[in-house]
Amino acid sequence: MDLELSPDQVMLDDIAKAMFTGRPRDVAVDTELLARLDADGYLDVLRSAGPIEAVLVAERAAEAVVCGPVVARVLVAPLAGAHDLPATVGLVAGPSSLVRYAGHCEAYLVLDGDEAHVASADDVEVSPVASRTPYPMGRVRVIRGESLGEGSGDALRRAWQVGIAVETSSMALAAVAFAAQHVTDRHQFGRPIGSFQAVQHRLARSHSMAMATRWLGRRGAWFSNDEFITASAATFACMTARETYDNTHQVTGGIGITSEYGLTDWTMRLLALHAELGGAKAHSRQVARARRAATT
Amino acid sequence: MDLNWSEDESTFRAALRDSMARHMRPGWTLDDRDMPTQADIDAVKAFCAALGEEGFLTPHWPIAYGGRDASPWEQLVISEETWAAGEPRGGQYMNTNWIGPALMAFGTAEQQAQHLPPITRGEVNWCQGFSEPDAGSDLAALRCRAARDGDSYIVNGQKVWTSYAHAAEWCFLLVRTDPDVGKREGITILMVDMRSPGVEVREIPNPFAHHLIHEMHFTDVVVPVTNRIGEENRGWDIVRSILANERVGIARHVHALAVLDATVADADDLGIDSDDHGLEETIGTAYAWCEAARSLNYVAVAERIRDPYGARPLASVSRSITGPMEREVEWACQQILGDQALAAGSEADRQVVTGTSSMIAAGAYEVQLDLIARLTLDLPRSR
Repeated sequence: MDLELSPDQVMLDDIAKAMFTGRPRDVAVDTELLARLDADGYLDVLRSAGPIEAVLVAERAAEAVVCGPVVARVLVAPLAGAHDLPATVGLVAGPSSLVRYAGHCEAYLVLDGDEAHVASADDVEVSPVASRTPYPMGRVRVIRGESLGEGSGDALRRAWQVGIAVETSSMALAAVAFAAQHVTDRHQFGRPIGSFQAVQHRLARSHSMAMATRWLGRRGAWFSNDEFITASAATFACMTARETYDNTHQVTGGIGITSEYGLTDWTMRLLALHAELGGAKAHSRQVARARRAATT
Repeated sequence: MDLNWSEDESTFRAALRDSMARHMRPGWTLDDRDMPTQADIDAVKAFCAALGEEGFLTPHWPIAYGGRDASPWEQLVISEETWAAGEPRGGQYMNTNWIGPALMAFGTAEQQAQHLPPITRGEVNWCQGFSEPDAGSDLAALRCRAARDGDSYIVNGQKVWTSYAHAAEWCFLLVRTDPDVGKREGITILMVDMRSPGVEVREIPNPFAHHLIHEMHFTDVVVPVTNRIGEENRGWDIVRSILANERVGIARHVHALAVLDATVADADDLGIDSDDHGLEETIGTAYAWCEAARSLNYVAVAERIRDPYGARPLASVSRSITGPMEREVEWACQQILGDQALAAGSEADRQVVTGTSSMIAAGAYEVQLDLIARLTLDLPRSR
């Protein structure tokens, strides 16, 4: 086993970080960035380099809260076996579920029981739904789509769970780092509030859970056919999202809930990820079933 | 990055399993790890001797000290396999993981010659005399006194919560040799023969397990100066190194997974519907904690490989997930079996002991959070 990034992976990670830094956050989809990623081959990095490379790009995109479904296109779709898709892909769990970037995607990957389908933007009807989260949300009714084959539904579910873990870990780590800076700078009772153990422990606990989610996400991408690992990754991601949301808001107080401050760029997205694909309830039950299937 | 076990690592695991299957006492459980009976002490020594004979006890040690320079990943494989089996090495995992390495790094040639071979042969049980009634999480506040008297130290004081003390021939003892300097500056490490006059071990009664914890009393115990590890009053630096090793690579996740598997099977036998949606969520969540702990355990091993002598912040991150994992599994088992979990002898019952102690022993959970706040998040010091 070797958990160290190779020199090429380190370079890719550095490039991704630089590429995603300072992008606009006030657009629905950063089409200019998506076009550049497409032109330079980053959207197909999983097929050209491997799952860890795709995870690295996805982690950096999530950390920088890039506007657009980068994780869905770079990581989830190819892990699910859906290749040669356009640059913007939405993930649809069912006719009543809320879909991030609905109405802003050129294609949709649709979970339909045992099968997954690909539908173009022309093959769906989108009903926008107002949401507090920064994502453009909507319901997507699929009129027609192309099946990805038998068993593709499970593959998409597993890949999506990995995506949830990868996005959650990056956003949680970024939110904790952001809150850590706040509690270092903010003084009350004559000292930085980050010097109080009660504050430190909240952030430390969130950081640990986010790190666990990070490595569960990486292992999920590597072992993407193992439902026990992918569902565990998503289950733990949901716990991490909640823990991080609660703790970072608690230690940043009133300023933390303002748009101006910036913490909600991550936390409101964590809220959405936490609920996706049935949320912790659905993921955890899949973990239990996968283990039972493997041990009996 | 390669998240698969290598062919060599897999081959090693298979060979270790084969060895363990041949040498483990049938029916061994984690309860037996505390060695509550002489038969258990004998079983541990027989098992470790057999493992040592076949090269599975200290393969990660340098060749010069009886190992074969195997990677820390193989050390982790040993931990995964032994924890899955209820840790039949008893307390000897301490010998191989940090007491031996401490001697290699800081011991004299004579000390190494005396103590390392018996460890590699699985012949000796050690305990560690760290905590005291007034020095637990604040370990550096320890007061057990060692006064120099010619070529000896005279040790007086008390240690508490000590595991395996009743079965140990030797103690890795922290003592205060200079009470007039800063609390981290007057600490020395001594190796104490537990058969020395003046050493008394008392079991501390508790509702969890026999011989789980002990107190050790030292009354005018004579310890030769030649039994000192490192310089006088410079023991704290060694302790920090030891604690870093102590925190890495204990594969509790494997045992926790096995406990959950067994408890779900017990539920099936008892006619409890563990497919009930609420229970499934509980079970799945607990399994997810196990996988989270596994993931970070591997990360901590990688950190150790990358920086063997560094501060190891990821070791604390790993331990801050492992402790809660044990508690999560403990309560999941209680929920799965309901009142049936209270009957002694099941894995669910044993997990009460493991879950309760996991966030207390070897550095409390809150200490790990303190370390993460300081070493990783760089938060201001609290005082």
